Amino acid sequence: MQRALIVGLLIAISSSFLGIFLVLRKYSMIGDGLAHVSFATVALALLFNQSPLLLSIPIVSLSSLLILKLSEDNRIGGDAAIGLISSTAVAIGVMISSLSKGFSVDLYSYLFGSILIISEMDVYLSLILSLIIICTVLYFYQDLFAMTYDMDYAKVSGRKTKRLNQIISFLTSITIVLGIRVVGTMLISSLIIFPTVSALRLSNSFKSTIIWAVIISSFSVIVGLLVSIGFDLPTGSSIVLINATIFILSTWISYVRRGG
Amino acid sequence: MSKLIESKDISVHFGKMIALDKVSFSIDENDYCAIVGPNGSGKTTLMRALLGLVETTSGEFIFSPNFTRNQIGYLPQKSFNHDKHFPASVYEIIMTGLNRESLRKIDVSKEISDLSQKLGIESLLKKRIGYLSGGQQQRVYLARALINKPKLLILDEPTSALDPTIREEFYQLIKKLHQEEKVSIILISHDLSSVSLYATHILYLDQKVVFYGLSTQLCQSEELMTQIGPQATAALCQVENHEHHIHI
Repeated sequence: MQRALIVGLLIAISSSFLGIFLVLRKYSMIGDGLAHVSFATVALALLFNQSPLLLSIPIVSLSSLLILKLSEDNRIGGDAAIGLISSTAVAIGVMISSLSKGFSVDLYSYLFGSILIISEMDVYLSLILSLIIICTVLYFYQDLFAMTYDMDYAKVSGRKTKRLNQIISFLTSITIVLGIRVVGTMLISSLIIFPTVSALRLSNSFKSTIIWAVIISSFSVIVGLLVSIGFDLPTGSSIVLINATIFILSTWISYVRRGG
Repeated sequence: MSKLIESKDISVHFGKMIALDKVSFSIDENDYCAIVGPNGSGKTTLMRALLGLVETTSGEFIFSPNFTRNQIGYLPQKSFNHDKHFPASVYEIIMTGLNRESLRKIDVSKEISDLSQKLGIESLLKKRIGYLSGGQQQRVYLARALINKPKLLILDEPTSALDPTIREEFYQLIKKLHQEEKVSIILISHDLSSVSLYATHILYLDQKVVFYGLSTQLCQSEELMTQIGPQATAALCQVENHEHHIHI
């Protein structure tokens, strides 16, 4: 329980730090695509009895760079690139799981999240990786913001946009891999999308959107975990449904603020 | 006057389409150069190539030793993110103009406060960018372009979305920057009659250079007459003379 809360909170903060840069650039589905890739890597890790976390980080990171590379090709585009990689990964994952009959229960817990699979090592790894994500975003904050608002101007003002894109993709990969322990591969992208989209309805500036997203995300993870434990419900679904409720509430607040 | 940039035989091809064909011109310190020409003549492509946003097929831009791309301020034609609900305040948008070096060196809030006062947008700093009028937004993007104290300011059709009164105010603002702050200007426009009132030099572009020289020499240009025809040239120069006359 304690481990789940710590890891959950760290993922909530990391994903909401990244969410705004992905959502506003219409790139939020990369989270979904990478989650599908992590499904394949978890299946592979279970097949070879390896740590899913350690195997997933390099493979998912490489996939994110591949998506980025394919997106630069005008004939493919970002959404198609995500689709290509994610469907191939799911096909590989399903193929592996059908070949090895023994780990269907384990795989299910990675698909939809389970706090029972969080080990002590996961807690330390989550702590280190979350700190890396938060510090990197804070260090490059101005550059990432400039790039999110106006890519051309960011280039003109001397920012290394290609490298920044790679950094964002890499950080997203780490967040996805960490998040699958709590909410599962099927629902992890919701942690990137929901808090940011709800926060966008409540704030006026970029900075306040991030602060709101962190608050919403942390709240939904804590309440979702408590509800999941208290009522013996699936962890990932509980967190996502809390997030969905907050989204409806924030939409209503924004509607009332604008005078109905 | 020392030279800032020299464009030498710049060509840009997009597949088989020739967007620019061996374009040469130069910008000196304190020049005010208007780039004019019909739609699709390559004006924006030329500036995007100069800024490194478009790859050139051949030719080169030669920057003087004491001038770099980082000293260019840019006000693009469609600079802004078109999402009206983008959660960014005016203050945050102006800050995106600062590069890492400036962020370390200057007192950011004082600099933004001074600049916004100069441009008449000090009351808008906390407002969301998407909720401002076209004229107000243009001033904000101008502030973003000026925050690094550029030596050269490139403006791409900055007044196309503005109504005539605000358009005139904007031209006056640029004129002031040019004359008082000694910022060199490149202004892209298809409205020759307006820009020729302020520009020291004109570059008339139609994939290749039709005319490049002092604005006062434009109407004597044989190349221009050959390119756009005697009637169009006469009409253009009449408008120009008329406008000059009104101003005098």
